[in-house]
Amino acid sequence: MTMSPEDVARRLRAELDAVPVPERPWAAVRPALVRRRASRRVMEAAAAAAAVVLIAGLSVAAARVFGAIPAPGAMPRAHPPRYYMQQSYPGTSGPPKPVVVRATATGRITATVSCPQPGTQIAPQGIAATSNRLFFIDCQKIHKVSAKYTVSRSWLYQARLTGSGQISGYSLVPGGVLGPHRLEGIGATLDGSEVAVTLGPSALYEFSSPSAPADVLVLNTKTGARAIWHGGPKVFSAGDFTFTGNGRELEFVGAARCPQAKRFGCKELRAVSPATAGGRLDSSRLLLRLSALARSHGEYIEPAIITTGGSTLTAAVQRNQNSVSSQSIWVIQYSAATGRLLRVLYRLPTGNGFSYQFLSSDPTGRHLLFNAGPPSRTVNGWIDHGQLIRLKPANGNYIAYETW
Amino acid sequence: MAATWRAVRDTELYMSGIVGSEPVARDEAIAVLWQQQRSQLVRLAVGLTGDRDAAEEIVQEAFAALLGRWRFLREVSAAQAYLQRVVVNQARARWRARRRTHVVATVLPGRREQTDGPDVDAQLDMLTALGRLPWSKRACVLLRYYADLSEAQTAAVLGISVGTVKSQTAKGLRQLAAVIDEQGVR
Repeated sequence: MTMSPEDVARRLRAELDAVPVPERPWAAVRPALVRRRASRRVMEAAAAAAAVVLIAGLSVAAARVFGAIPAPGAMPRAHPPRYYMQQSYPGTSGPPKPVVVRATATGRITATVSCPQPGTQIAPQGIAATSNRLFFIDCQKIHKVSAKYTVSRSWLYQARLTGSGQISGYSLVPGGVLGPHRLEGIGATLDGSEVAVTLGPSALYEFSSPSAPADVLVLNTKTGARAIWHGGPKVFSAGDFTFTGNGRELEFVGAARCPQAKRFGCKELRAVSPATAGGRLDSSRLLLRLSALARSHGEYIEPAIITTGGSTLTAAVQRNQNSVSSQSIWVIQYSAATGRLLRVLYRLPTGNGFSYQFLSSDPTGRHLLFNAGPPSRTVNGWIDHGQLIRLKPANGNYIAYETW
Repeated sequence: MAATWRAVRDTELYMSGIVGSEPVARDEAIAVLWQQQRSQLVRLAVGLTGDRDAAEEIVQEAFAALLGRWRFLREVSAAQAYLQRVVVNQARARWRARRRTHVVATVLPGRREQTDGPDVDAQLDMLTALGRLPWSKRACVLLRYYADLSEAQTAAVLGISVGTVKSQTAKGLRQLAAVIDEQGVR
């Protein structure tokens, strides 16, 4: 060989770099690429549909041949609610995706949840369900003011989910004109007689702080009577609401000022009573600091949910095992009174890093929806006796929130 | 039922869609990638296929795919790796489809095209020489020495082991040198 590998490589680079490539501006090319992508997706969907029909047919045929019947022990033992609501991120282009109602068993979309006011959309995680199929949604109108997107107006609506997963009748909750506030939390009593909403700053990218605290509005949904708990320099926001004591007391996870978490505050389980009295969040009763739940330096407690009755606290806990490459997310139930670990409900190894989207529950607190996983690959499902039963879609990356 | 809090990142992700019928972030990022990476990707595809028209088409396909894939990638480096993978996969598919009908026309010594530009003959000879390499060696050599990927990156793009990249690259360079030498190119 007369040319050395280095000479060959050098020659290769030189000759290829000399290949002329005519300039094509992105703006000129993009429309054609978008059209090409759209037509490919139509073809892929048609192919996928044909594949599903084929596979379903083969499965039925196989079952007939081999007599395959799922063993009773393989079936989930819990009976979760029949429908769940799903709020997706809108993706990178196009209009926001609607909130949909899906059947738990099949994932079939049975209804779309929409804000009645034109030009408004449901706030992120702006859905609160009750135990009698009544649910509440926070609807926002967003405007751009001096290059800042702000909530110019917001409203609280109620509607009912039918037995077949349809929506019947939206109506404005009495007293439910909320004004120019970004929603930072929402919760309802089991019977829907009261709703608590956290009203943050109007600007989309600003969050409550000790110097700009949020307010918590407790609204009687029958009469429209309002009670306001003002955020203060010590406890400046609240979320993850649970009404306890027959609705008389409001428990919440408060954001308290602390040096370790300057932006979003330290999380503390707190309570105000009676919920309808109004007053200051600073004077709420401290029940438990969530940092006390962390057993070691390598644990991080994600924002928690509280079961009804306020006796237990369920949280997603991110844990590093022996190394950063063996991380996991645990769903753990604690005593709300003492912080004592009661039981591990689910454990999900995530490898090197993790991604956590949400943990939510049905109004009874018995059934948990969970979306977490390795980085960029979250799974979406509900927890049943230590197993994660997948929901649709199984890929949870762009599901913003789900609730039963 | 209680709601959970969200961090800034999630709000931005959500609200960017609500207030954006302006997918500004994605389009701007892809436009920059197009401007910075397109020429090199086209040349890489030319090296892989020996066909400049096909190379343009392949790179446009890769960016079309990126438009739909962007939301899962979120980072420019991941987008670059994705583009390279798509280009390589598309080039491989086209090469295999065209091989039987075009191999005679492209690798016979002495074939020339009428084009402008300096030392076009040398370019064509290099492409012809590359075309003589089996796919795996050609791809390894181009990704390692033209695209400047590391052995691990090359292995990831091609879906093979690092050891295979090492051996295929070394053998590919030796074989390329032999072909060039055979063609009397300097």
